[in-house]
Amino acid sequence: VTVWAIAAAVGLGFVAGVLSGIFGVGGGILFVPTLVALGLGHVEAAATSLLAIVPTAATGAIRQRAYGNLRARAALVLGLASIAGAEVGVRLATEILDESMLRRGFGLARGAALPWGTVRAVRGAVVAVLAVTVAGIAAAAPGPDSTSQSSGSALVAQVTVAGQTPVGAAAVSAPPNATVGGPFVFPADGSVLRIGTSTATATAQPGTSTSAEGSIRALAVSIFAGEVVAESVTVRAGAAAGPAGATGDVGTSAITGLVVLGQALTPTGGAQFPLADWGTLDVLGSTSSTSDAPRSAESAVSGLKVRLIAEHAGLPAGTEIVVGVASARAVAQTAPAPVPTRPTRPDGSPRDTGSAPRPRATPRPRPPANAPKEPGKSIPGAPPEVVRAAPEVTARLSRGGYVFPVFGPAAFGNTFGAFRADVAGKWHHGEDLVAPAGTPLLAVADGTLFSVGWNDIGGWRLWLRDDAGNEFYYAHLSAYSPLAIAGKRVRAGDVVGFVGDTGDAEGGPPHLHFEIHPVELLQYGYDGAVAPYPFLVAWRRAEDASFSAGRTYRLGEDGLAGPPGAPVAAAQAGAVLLDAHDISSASGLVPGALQQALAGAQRRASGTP
Amino acid sequence: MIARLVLIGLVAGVFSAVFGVGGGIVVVPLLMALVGLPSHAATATSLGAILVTASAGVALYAVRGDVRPGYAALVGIPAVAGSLLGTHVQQRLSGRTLTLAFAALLVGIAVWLIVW
Repeated sequence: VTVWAIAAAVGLGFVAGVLSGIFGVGGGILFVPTLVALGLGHVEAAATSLLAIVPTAATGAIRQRAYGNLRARAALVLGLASIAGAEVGVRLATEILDESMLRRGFGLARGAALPWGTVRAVRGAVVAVLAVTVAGIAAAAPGPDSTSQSSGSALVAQVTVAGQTPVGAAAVSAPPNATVGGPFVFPADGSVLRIGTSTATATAQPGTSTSAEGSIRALAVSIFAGEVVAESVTVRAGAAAGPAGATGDVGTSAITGLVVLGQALTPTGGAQFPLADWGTLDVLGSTSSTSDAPRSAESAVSGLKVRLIAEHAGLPAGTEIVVGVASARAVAQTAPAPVPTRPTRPDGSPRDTGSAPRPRATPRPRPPANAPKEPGKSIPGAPPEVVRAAPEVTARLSRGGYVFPVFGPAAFGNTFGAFRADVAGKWHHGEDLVAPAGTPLLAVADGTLFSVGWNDIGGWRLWLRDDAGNEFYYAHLSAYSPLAIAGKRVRAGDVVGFVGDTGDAEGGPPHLHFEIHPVELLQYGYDGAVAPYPFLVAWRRAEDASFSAGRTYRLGEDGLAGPPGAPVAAAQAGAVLLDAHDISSASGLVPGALQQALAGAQRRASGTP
Repeated sequence: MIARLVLIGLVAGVFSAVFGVGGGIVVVPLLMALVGLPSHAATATSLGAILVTASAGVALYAVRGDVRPGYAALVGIPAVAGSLLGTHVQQRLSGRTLTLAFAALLVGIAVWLIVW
């Protein structure tokens, strides 16, 4: 083997890798002849080629995963089926191939039925048919104008001294998806800006439905050595677009522990505060633009922005310090204008449980065969084949003794189906009910609890299956009640847990994430959910909380640990409540209680009874 | 969809064993035609499938002692570098361009298979 042969092998290996990366092929078609030329036997060449393919394919697959293109589960099914297919193929080959084919790289041929020319023609023809198929797909695809786009970017901090190049920290942009982070100081002594730690994440998901997100989280932020301080700055911008429309979202951005010149401030979006006579502070400034055709959605948000209007701390007027900038952009695939049609019911569609007869729908004209997918049928990141239209559901849960899941005041909107970057399918499968941490959560119906425990997204969570089979999901709990045991029967109104901010809600406002999965839709798995909003509105009117039902339990029973023979005791449910409920800011003590307490202290101090 | 994936996998496996050409060349077009994946997703998923089959194949051959790691490194290491370049280039291509390029590649392979 000469140096030239080795150089040629390296070059051909590189070319095979490029082809593999672009076209998703293994590269064996070049590896095998190269290895044969280096003097390996055919079987050795085939085996060694497979070993070279493993890192090549792995590299491509890992890169493609970062770009959001890899369908890992489909790949696994394909690969396993392909191994089975090769088993069959080997048997077939020994039956139909000619001995002479051994020379041409088939280590497995033994029988003799098909002449080489036939094999050659058949496989050439098959590949030619595939070529025509692919060319047809390319011809049928929408033109180059309609390719989708997606980009997200995030920047933890940037200091722009007037007249100088900006100095930034931890900036990322997608694609490819990326996360960076760490502490940041400017200048080296941190006198202008100091950030304890931070992460910046950018994701982009291209496709027929495209979505992008940029987010940053910075902790322990201090500007001008404590003149502006924030415990945390969380900034998130999302954008999604599909055949049906485009939406931008900056809703989950928040700043906690904001203290400006020694004064605690409540950060509200878009607010501007003066900084003495030397500058201004903008809090949570955001922009969101949505256009319709061609689809688009851009959103951007910045956490803290200090602008100097006079010289300060040695920096000239015009200097700008920004903490937390996120932006997202999504341009949808501009397929031909969608034909609006009625959502179709799948087979086995839920029966109408309402008593009133439904008017029969008049027949609609059928869309042409090549009509694009109807609006609302796409989910960012999901291949169109697995997406079905949401079936119509008319089950009336509110009549069956259901109660509202949160005891006490709770705020909620109608965000079912909104963009959510971190959950399966990237859409909001339920509703967020915002309430103070520690607010009791009630079983909405008589039923059985299951899947009680931790989940990285839901945090401390539980599921309730009512007697009709409908399933309800409670997430982000701060604490469970003693009733919260998998398999436990509960009655409507029983306290099962308490509002919190665990899981991916950490750092945001405490809330209950609540989902409704009607029994008729359970066949669709996690995506078989309906908008909770109308149900919540109906249930709001009846709050049949029954604390008594869940107040007592016995040590050693109900799966709770307790030594044998331990005294049977009532649960201190109140202790659970106090653990979870922050009452430090509560008002409304018994009138005069403070005076009485102080008077008692004075009496003790002066020695009078 | 699972049934279609299994079918595609079986066809690709049989084809590669009988005709000595297979893997991505068959999987990518079938993923696009039968499952409807866009071209970028089809090529990415094909790579994942190849990773599974090649790993299994290596294990079988290694038991028989046919694998020559030195030679594999000789072509495989430059191929990894090439793959990084290839995936990077692929991201710059639109779905339509990639599909057309794949069709051109298939035409070339078909001609080569018939003439060779």
